[in-house]
Amino acid sequence: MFDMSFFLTLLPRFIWGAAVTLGVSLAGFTLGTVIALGLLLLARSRIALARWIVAIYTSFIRGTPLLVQILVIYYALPGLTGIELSPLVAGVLSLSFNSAAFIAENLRAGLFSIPSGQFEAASALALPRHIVALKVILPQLVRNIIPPMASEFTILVKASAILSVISVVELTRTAQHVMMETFRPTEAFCTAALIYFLILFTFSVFTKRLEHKPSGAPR
Amino acid sequence: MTNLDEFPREDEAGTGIKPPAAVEIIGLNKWYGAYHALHDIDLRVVTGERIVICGPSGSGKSTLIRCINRLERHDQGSISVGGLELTDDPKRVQATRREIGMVFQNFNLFPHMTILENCVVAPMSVKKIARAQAEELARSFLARVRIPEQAKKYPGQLSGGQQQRAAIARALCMSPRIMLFDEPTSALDPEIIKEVLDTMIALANDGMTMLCVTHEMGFARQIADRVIFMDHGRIVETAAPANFFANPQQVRTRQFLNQILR
Repeated sequence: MFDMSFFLTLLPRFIWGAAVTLGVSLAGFTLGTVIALGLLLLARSRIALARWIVAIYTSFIRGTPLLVQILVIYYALPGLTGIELSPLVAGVLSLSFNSAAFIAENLRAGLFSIPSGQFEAASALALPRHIVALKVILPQLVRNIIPPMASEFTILVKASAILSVISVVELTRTAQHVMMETFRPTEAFCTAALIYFLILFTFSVFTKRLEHKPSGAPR
Repeated sequence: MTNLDEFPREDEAGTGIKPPAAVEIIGLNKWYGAYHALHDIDLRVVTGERIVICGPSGSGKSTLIRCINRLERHDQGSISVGGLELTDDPKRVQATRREIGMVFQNFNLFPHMTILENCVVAPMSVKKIARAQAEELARSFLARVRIPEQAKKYPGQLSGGQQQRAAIARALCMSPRIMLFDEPTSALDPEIIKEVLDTMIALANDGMTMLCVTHEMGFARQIADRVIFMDHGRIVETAAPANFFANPQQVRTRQFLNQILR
């Protein structure tokens, strides 16, 4: 049976674990977006080598399991390069490198779906390039990419559970610790599952609203 | 930076010296790969002149006017706007675009901005006009195209005809010397076309230099100084509207007119 008093006394630890989960996901998502912007620029570069690098990077990320990517960064990187990373840093970097490949694709698709007439109208008005980028294209891009970016973030929150294997004490690892200390796997993992669900469910409700009314402009 | 205030008008001082044309196109050729889109085009448009360009789809009429503000790059020949030749120099291109307003078939208003925002973004960022003055200017042009009450709405909330008139107001806010219209009524329902044409007629009566790609022959009859018929990337026939419709010289022109005038 599910023991309620157990649940309540250990709740603070779970909440801390959830905070770490959210923190690494957010950090991974942010850094991933920055890397994705770089990938997008390289992919549109005139230099063939730059485009090749992006293509290889993307297919490598898509073609290997996230768990293996994490293990490579945490265990293999020190052996290969001498750079040693703490579990937390290695974990965030893995999530960033992984999500960057997918976010870059979202950005590319979002940019592609802006009608060419928008660029033409901006050119015909002689708008300077930075105004075109910031005032004409970016707001439309943001509106286009809210749904795929929200789904990428959701994937990242769930994927961050894998960081438990390199001993980052996020929500899943917290549940494992609690189980080992109390021998109550049912309560430990059900609590973790419930918290994951509450976080992501709240998030999805929030983004649905954002989709319906982005920046006050009707579609 | 080019001094735009020195853009010459047609014989303003009455000196008798031939001033540069509003638009002068000489020996223009353009290819898309192997496809010859524009073939030896020569066209001189003087200030205040109203030109209507018609022709079957794929005849190069849109490509021609899109070359004038460099939405398309030409391969051969020269295009001069107000005596200034279009080159690859981005500053030259921007200077030319500042003199030319363009109205598109699909309006191309910025959907995330209100109509007023659409109208002030270029005057504020290109001409560095203060917001209050830019808005005043925008409201006066919105009144002129008879949609003053739509200023705070978004393009998606307007009818097609209202959107197109807003797009005309947006172009006018830059005080262009030349207006290009690329099939401005082709995306509109028949009952809405008139309100856009009326706006264009009013503009023509104010003396605006206009190049209009359109199949609205009633409009051409009413305001055009010259009608140009294009086919397969060439100018086939140029005539005043009365002659163009009553007495077309070329077989191809007659065939075309028979198809669109019933």
